[in-house]
Amino acid sequence: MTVSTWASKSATVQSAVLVGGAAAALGLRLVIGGAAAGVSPAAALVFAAAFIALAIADGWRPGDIRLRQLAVGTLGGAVLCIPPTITRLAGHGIGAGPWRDYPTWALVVAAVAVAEEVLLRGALYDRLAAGAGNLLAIGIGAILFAALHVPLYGGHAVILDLAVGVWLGALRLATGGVAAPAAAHTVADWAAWWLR
Amino acid sequence: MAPLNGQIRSTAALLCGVTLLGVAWLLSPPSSPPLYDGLILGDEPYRYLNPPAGYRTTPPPSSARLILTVRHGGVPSFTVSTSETPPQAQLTGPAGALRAPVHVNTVTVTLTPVLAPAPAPAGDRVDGNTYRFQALAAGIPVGVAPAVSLIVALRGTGASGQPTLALFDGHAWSLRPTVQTGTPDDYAATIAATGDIALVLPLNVSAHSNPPGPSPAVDVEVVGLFAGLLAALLVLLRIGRRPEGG
Repeated sequence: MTVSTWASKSATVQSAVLVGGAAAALGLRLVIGGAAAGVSPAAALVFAAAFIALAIADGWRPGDIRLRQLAVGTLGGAVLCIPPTITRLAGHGIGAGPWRDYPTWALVVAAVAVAEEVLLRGALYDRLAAGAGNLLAIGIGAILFAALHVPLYGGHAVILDLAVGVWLGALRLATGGVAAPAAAHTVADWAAWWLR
Repeated sequence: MAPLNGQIRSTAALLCGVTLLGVAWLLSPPSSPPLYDGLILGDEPYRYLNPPAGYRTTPPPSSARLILTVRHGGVPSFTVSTSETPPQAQLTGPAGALRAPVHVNTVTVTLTPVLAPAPAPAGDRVDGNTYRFQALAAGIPVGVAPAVSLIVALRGTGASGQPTLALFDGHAWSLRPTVQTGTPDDYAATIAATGDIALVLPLNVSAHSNPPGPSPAVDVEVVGLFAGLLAALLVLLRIGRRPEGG
């Protein structure tokens, strides 16, 4: 078997294993969290740890994080915040949660957001892009991203999550690293505390 | 040329992403979560019109208003909800549920939080807000059509006990057979008239929220199954990794 054939087959198999691993991690989160899976910090942290472990087992390592990537990611997160900001400014929404709960919530949320980006826009993206190109890497990452959130948010969030997945994938492509989508994802999550 | 192609591809991907985002926001229901991951923020605290002493500060409870266009003399089916998360009051009516007077084009349905108009039925107290359900056409009250029922759902305050939905028709409260909906503090009943609606609880029930019960036990076997699967996949990933320098 030539090196290129091996690499192509390996990329497909490893991608499939990563997707299976993501599903197993989600299953673990749902079982540990039970009916409160969406709000259980313990379940969320196990989920995040599983995602990071999958990425590391696949050989993913963090590259150099450049300031530009973080800046682009922060701007990307700001884009995600536009609609809820408009809704909030229009007087809708339920208001920020209590300050005292924010630090813990923000830490857990950041862990999950970064872990998801490391797996989806890091390890899986690299595998898929190497084997089938960037477009497919963005698309499959977005589909998996949306699918992972159905048990937590319900089916009505699929369209939005698909679009967000494409946006985060585009940030990955544009900046060449995970830092930008991870920053965007985290910024959007953190802002949600005030924008709900 | 390659860097230029890369830049074009990146710009195209970003434009495509932002366009998709715009379309998705237009297509998604307003209640779509503003965040896409992490921990879901819980339900907002109950908004009282007249909060009990020491209750946390919340925005005032919202009202709901829906204008229905009369077609061929009939009022279409409708659902009207207040804007809290989850809604504190919701009313659903089938087509023809409201008797629209002839020659009116619209009927306006409102749900407004009001102070309880009269003491609760004997032995009971009102739990949370009372909501006034009104339907008006050109300023004239519109009634519910005979033999038609509307479904009303109210959010409880989380007080212990099983609330019952009550309707005040201007003279007296009447209790309605009440069911709990899918969510823990939501209760629904049918009504056949406009008026004031509220949840009532027996007076001897404490106003405090239900104490959290024991968490349902985590199914250790299923956790073990998923953990084992995950471990196997991790090993597979390690084995399948590209050889160094290969």
